Amino acid sequence: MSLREDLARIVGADAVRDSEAARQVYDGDAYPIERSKPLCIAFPKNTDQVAQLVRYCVAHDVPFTPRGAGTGLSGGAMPALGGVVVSTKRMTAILEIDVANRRLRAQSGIANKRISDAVAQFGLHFAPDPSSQSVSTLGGNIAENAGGPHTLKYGVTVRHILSATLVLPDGDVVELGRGVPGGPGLDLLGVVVGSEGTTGIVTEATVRLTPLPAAVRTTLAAFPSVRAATECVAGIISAGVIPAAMELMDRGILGALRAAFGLTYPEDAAALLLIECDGLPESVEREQAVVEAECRERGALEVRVAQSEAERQSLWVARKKGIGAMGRLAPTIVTHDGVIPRSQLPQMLEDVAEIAAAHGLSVANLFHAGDGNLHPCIYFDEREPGIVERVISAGEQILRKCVELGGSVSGEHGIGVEKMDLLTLMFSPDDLEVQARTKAIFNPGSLGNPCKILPNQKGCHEHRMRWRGAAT
Amino acid sequence: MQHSPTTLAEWSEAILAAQAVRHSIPPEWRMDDDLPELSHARYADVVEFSPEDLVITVQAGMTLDALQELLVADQRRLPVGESPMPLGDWTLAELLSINPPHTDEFERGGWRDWLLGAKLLMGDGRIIKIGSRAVKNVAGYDVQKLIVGSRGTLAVVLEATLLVGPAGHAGTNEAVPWGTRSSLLGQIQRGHESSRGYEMEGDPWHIQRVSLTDGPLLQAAADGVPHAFHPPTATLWARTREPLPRFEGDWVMRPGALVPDSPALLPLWRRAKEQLDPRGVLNPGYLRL
Repeated sequence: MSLREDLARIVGADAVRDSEAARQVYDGDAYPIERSKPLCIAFPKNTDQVAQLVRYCVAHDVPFTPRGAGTGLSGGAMPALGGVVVSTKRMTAILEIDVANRRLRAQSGIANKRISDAVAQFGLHFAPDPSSQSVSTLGGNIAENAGGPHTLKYGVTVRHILSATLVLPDGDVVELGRGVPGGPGLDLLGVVVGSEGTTGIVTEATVRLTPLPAAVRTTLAAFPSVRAATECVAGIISAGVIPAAMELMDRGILGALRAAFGLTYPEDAAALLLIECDGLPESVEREQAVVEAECRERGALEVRVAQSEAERQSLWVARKKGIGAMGRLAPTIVTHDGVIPRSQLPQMLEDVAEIAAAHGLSVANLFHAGDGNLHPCIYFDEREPGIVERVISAGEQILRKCVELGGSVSGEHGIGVEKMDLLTLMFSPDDLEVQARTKAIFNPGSLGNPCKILPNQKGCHEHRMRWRGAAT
Repeated sequence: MQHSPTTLAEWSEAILAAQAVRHSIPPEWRMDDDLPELSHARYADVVEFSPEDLVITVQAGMTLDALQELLVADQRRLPVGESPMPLGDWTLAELLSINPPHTDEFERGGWRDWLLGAKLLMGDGRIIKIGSRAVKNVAGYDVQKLIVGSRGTLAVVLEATLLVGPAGHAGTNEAVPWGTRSSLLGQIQRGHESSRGYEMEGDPWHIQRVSLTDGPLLQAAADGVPHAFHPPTATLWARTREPLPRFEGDWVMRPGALVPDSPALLPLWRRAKEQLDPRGVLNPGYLRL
């Protein structure tokens, strides 16, 4: 029997694809540089089917790769060694809404935003809010330990996952976590979150719901220089205020926003800082006073404070549509993801500009300034000979600088296949060996989402050129 | 027998020379064992402090009181709330090993959230680095999550990089002593107005303090055993005048050996020990496998 027929016996004939077109669609995620086609794509509908699929793959020595919405930016869902893609596309049910205990249990294929939409009527929401939240899945968010603008205050995904059902890479099923935060014992769930689908396939999870804030104050401040804006970020944090979100957009983004949406900002503005404070009314007012004082002290050209929800939404347009607007500037955009200590932001932004200039590249910045999480967006026309190599080189230099400043090569996009080699900038061979041992607690074999995160994995190197070749 | 290394080389030598050691366990949490002690007593200096970044790196022998004193001088503080057990003289190594609960855990996080990175001594004498100094980081496996709360059975924390908070952060909890009922009800009323509220009557577990915040964690001492739960999970929301029930999913923290919640987890716990401490030298007996 063929692989397709075998898988159909587990999930049904209508839940397996292996056409050339389907294999091409599922050959990677939103990281465009590396591609590898699977043999088959299976669409299970529950934990039992996922476990059966995994057990089948193990018995037949077939690699398998979990996949949510495919919005990952580092190639985590690329089926590196082919095999079977296990898609959670049909696993979208909300299983329980527990308002009294502020918890929700759902299958892992549910879109992030659907969780918040389902509990808004109770004054609650799911706090992680990656930009992809309308489509990216709970399982994908768990795999990547997703962030988002408001994780500055509320914390990244790991703080909001109370328990999860995990199909281990040998097909066994375990429940991790107690459904409440904290507690004694080995925090296996904390390792699974952010392990990019290499420790098993999460099929269900109980998430923590957070009350919608009683009060929100949103401010958009325009600054004459990026340095002034980044100093304002450091000043606000240093003054003891941790806003819910603090997002920075530089001149490159402003130009794109003007061109695309006709948005207007002060003529000599070189950077915009979007700051949102939320919580109980009295604490929000205290924080807002600090925010406005810091903005003015750092020479803000204009400070706009939303007076209504409609105005708040309009101030967020600059942040939410910034990347889309960049489509006007060039046909291709590569968004990098690095983190540095916040106090290093002024220096780092100047370094980013210098590195881009030295490579003859254009760069714009739109990022989570409060976390020190940079997203330099290099925009270019890939038809220009030699430019892709320059883009890759500039990106690596930027990330090298992040590490030199005490930061990390990834704040929220993950390592996947994109940054495997860059991990050696942060970690020694001994450090990485302990990480490999940590992975082996869950996944001692080589079939479950192979060739991700750790560099120099056995049997992966020779495939790498093929992935890259497939994408060009 | 007690050994107190002062340099990284001494830590490595000490572990390589031992067949088994006890470390990072507060005295009252020790089992009745006669293991030689590897102590952090002479390893308690500041490595790096960036008040503007809200990040500090210290050697793990520093006590919580000493750390807070140092932080407060720069208007910073580790946001540890009240705890049923006095934690001030615990070292960071002990705090990270035990992962004790505190009243502000739900809102401000706990030890697993604050540990951004660390230098670890492994059972084979290697000294390795995990995490980073950045407040947000998804590079590689989050080994620190596994280390915190493992009772020192997987590695020895030598240095810890911690996320700290502002000393006078707006919205600081108000801890209300149990018994001042009118004050408590006032707080509860405010809680209801902001879509979060709790009503409670009776004191079945001798509740010591109640902390009302975005999502408080109540600490209690039942029969002298510290345990923790948070009211939303205690189905208190919107209910009135009912005693605090125990509920499925709460947990009790006990001294002694850690035991998995379910037999299904046992193979994973065993593999964690085999992978990270294959010699079985670190706190043997503190994981019941």
